[in-house]
Amino acid sequence: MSNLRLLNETTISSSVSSASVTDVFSSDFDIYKISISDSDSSANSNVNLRFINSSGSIVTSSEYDTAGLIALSYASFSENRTTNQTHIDNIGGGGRSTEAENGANVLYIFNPFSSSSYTFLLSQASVQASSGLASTKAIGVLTELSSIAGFTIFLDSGTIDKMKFRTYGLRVDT
Amino acid sequence: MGLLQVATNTVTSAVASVTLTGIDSDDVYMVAINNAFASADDDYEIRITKGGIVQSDANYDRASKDLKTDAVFGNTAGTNLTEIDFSAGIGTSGTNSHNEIIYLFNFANASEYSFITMENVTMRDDANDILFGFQGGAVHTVASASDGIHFFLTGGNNISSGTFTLYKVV
Repeated sequence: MSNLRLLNETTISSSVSSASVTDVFSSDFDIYKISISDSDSSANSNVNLRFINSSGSIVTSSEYDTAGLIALSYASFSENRTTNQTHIDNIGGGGRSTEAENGANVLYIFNPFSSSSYTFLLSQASVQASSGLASTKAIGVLTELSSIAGFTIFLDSGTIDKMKFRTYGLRVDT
Repeated sequence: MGLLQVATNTVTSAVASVTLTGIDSDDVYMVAINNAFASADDDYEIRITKGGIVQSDANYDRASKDLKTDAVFGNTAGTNLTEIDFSAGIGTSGTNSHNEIIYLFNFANASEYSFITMENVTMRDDANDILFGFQGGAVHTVASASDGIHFFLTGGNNISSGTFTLYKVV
């Protein structure tokens, strides 16, 4: 049996301002892999992430840091550095109003459920922007010692019209 | 994608190094490092093993981009190194843990070099606790079979805690 355990599959099929996956992180796993695919949006926009704590509340405090490298096929690479923001900024991937241009993400989340460590994120994504490919490699952290059980995705502008999330836990057999 | 666990080591008391072996096929392998700390602020290093023996020869090349929130991203690179530096400022406790995903390619193939890709994230343990992570790759330029990966700290400090797990990608 695979040590990569599918825990949740969530599909968004109608227009929403944000898309959430709740109650998916637990004490059963310390590392999670999330794939985001099959996306479409109403506007061309960055894709952002917030965590949802174990009480079900979206964490909106200014305690998110992000560092992202955006590799572009049509221009010089750019860097995204933010600290003390209310979200992980620009994880890449979807956020295109032309369905075919929406790419995909793979995220790894570390230690979300532990209230004694920060919640860390790795993100890799690709999307077809207006002038060509934009590929993102990003890291992020929620510098708050709280127990995190889920996440929510939203755009800088516009709505999410389609999106599929698959969340896996990486099991360690001791 | 599936993952089959090959080896794991959860460090709960200080050790000088962690070695994960058991690579015996041409499959891709993955290492996950979770919540790792050092006995004193230090950097993690990687070497590979062949026949269970840690390789300390000067045949490692590496290149990576370092992502951070306090400055323009840097490039870290080198050739003919004796080890692969893959972190910066691992902390000793609390919130400065090191977390990483590593992929290993061609390790069991005696006709190929052993290739590594790595991505990691930590809060670098300095005065400002900066978000920091490497994104890059490395290679051991010896065409012979490798069977594992070895972790230790640059400054000779101990690995005080953390979970290191080797999976086969199936």
